[in-house]
Amino acid sequence: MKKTKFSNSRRDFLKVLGHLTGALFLNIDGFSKNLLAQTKELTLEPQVFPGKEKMIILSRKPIVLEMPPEGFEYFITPNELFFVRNNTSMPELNVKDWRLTITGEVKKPLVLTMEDLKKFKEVEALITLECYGNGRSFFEPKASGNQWKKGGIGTALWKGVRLKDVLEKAHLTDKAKHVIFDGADEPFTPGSPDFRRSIPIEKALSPETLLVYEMNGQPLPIYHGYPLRVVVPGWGGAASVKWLINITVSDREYDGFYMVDKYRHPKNPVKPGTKLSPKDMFVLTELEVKSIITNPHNESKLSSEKILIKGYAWTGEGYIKKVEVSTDGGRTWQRAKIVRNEGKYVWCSWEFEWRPPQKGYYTLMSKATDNRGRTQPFIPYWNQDGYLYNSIDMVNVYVE
Amino acid sequence: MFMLNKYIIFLCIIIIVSFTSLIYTKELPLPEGEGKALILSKCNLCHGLDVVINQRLSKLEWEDIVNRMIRWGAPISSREQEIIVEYLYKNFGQK
Repeated sequence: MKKTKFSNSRRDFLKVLGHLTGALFLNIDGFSKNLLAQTKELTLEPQVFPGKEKMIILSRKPIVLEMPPEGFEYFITPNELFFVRNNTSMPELNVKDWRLTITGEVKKPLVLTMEDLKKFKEVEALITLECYGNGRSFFEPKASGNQWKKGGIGTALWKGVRLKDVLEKAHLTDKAKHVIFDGADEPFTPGSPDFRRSIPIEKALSPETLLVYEMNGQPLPIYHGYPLRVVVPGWGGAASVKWLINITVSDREYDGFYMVDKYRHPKNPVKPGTKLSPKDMFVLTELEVKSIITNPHNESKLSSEKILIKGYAWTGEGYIKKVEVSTDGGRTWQRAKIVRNEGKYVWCSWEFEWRPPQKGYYTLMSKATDNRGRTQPFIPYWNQDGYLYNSIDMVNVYVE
Repeated sequence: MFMLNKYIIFLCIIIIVSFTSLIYTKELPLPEGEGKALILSKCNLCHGLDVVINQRLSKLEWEDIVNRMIRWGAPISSREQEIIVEYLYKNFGQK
């Protein structure tokens, strides 16, 4: 076993001693991070990502960062708390050299600079993005992949242009059925698959599908696809390809790795633990209806007077019709109040004022229903890659 | 006074020992064992270690993952595959 290399010098000894005594009186977490930074060989590096210091690191290669619970305090997620799910390396692009090409089933292929792109009608929209794997860690038996809890989601104010406007300028042929997006990112090893995904032409031509260059009033941060990304609202984050450099219009669905081997879901419900081959699964599209409780936190101790239960609810193609809350483990349900509703493709915030009847241990639950009558299940569809987790949310609390 | 100094030094030693062992057990990315070197040299080519150490999966799941990685191009022989699966299940298994 490798050993920590502490220097023998007196100064270093005193430094470590200082940290130790500091830790005794201050906080253990900060201390241990500090000390760990000096013992690199034992640790996973880096400990933080610049501009994303508060994020929970799920993976460093590729970078996968989960929003910490404090992020749910904001209806519009600040950029520094917005989740990141990369599949490959993160390219540093210079907007002056950057070009967007539109090729394939078009009569007039285009090569656009950022200046050209900004000549299209500018649009701004609040849109919630959620990773298809958000909540994966709650599946039983465990599904493989990054073990997301609740924070693989965020809402931002995106500014850009309509994909539809750009595609129309390129004049689609009659064969245009799918639109393939390719970013400038590269796989970590040569020969590994590139991250490319496609969406059907109907979704590409929807006026809400955007090519965005700004996020919450800032140029798109590198983590989120600088200088340009797609935002496909109501669909999992993987559809919204980042660092976009090419759009290829095709007569068929793209058949690359990230369509055929990943981001697929069983065609028929399976017994938990069942392994399927890609032919028995379909390419993921829209998100499921879902709600989460953000306050109070699980296993927290509360006073027995008035308790405000809060959370968010969202769905894929549609909008939230109602959110119900149970404070007795699902025996009875009551309507929660929708606090902020920005319409389709944006999460709603909701709250419910609860006066516990007596002291004790309670299971609080939330359940959203959308305008298509879809509601959250007690038992979500288990699938080997742990996508689309949307079980009724549950939080246990002590009332004292 | 002399006794007091001795006591403080003793206390410091105890604290140092306990904290370093805490770091060893909590933060060491990969425990020793047959399979560690393979994971560092092969799996680490395409992805980092976080996704390995942050999961607790059944043996069937780990077998499936390693199979998939091979299908996707990981340069792993069948003997190495067995070692890797054993190592992953032993250290990161859902039991």
